[in-house]
Amino acid sequence: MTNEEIFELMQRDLDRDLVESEQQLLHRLIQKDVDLQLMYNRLKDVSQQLEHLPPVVPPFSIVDSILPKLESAAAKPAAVTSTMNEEILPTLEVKRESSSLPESKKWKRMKVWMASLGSTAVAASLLVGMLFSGGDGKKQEVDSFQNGTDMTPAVVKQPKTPGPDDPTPPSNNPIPSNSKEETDKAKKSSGATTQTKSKRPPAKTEKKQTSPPKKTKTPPPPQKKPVPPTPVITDDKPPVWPIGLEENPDREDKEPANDDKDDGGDKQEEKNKGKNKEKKKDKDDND
Amino acid sequence: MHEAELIRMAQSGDHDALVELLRSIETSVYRSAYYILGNEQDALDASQEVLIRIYRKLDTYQEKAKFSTWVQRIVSNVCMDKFRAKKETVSIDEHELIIPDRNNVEEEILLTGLSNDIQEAIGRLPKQYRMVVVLRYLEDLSYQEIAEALDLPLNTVKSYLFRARQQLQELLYDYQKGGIG
Repeated sequence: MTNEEIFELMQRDLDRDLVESEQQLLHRLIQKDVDLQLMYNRLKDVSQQLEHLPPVVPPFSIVDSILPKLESAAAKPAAVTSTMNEEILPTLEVKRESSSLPESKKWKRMKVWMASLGSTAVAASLLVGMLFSGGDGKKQEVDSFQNGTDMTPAVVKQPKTPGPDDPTPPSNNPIPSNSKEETDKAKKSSGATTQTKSKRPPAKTEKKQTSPPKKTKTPPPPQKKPVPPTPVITDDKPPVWPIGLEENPDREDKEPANDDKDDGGDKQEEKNKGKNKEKKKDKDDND
Repeated sequence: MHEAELIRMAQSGDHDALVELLRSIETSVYRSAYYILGNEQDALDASQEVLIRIYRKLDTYQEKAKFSTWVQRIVSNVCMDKFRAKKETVSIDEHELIIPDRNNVEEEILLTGLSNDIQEAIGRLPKQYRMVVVLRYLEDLSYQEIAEALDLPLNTVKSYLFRARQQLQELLYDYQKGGIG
């Protein structure tokens, strides 16, 4: 018999769980081995101490102390208990907030999307409108200039120093495309006359001047000879070119400094605006 | 009045019978809680909680199990909740108090008697062992009843009880050796 088996017999004997034969076997084994006898006596001592643990009693009647509470709880209407339950709810507030956060973000993103969509729709409709009514607008504009109804101030800024044209002021998105240069050339011939006359106010007339390039080429201004573009020094500081873009001397020659007031400049502005919008869109998408 | 009759009356809505039933189990509930939790205040809190639960849930008791086993099951559940709550709110200061210096240990051994030794030894047992010992010796439950009360397999109950007695024997032997030395 192993020690573990003997140990189990001892434990069961303490709980009076042994049959008579098992008890006799255990006693025989204990009598033979002194260590086993010592162990058995110690366990029996522990068991006796546990059996004689001091009886503890509550210092006061617990039932009496809780009875008023129990009776009042039993008498409370259901509404009161429901409000008691609601008092626990504030712990859920954090969760509620966290769950509502993405909703607000989504709503913000939706707003941005709607705004960008709306602006693109407006831009598209403007473009379409200009395509259909651009020619007429241009005609009207030319007429208004010829009739002297232009409201722009008569002061013309003359270049301070003769020589090569100043480079165009840096824009956010300069596009040295061929089509643009062609249109610029076409405009130079027509726009040079107006430039010598006066500086136009930028906002209203700009939109009218945006017309398809084919039409602008056809009516060359007959009364005046094409004058070389008059460079306007807008700033004393030398223009700063955007990083990564090289200066294009050809473009400088062909485009006057104040060509941003020209049709080409308008177009470029529009293109720039369009590109900026696209960039914004991309940014939004990335967000 | 017989316990079974009291239970039936209380379940049928007799308030006085319910109160009488609670009074009859009050001391045994407190005693178990006291030896499991190891101090009076926690035992009182736990006893109140147990009696309130019995007051509210008596209609769910079925006569399949002994009433005392059902009550002790509630006691052990409430005590386990208390252990968990205590574990969650243990602070660094409390930890510092647990670590005794040599003088305190010696003083403790000199001051405590034999009955205090066994109580302290019970307090040093793992929670499950402590519950099994309390139910076996203080509530005089059988292996099977302990298994039902603690929702444990019968062999696990035996194993816990045997190991608990073995550990108590070792702890008490160490105390006696320390007391003599």
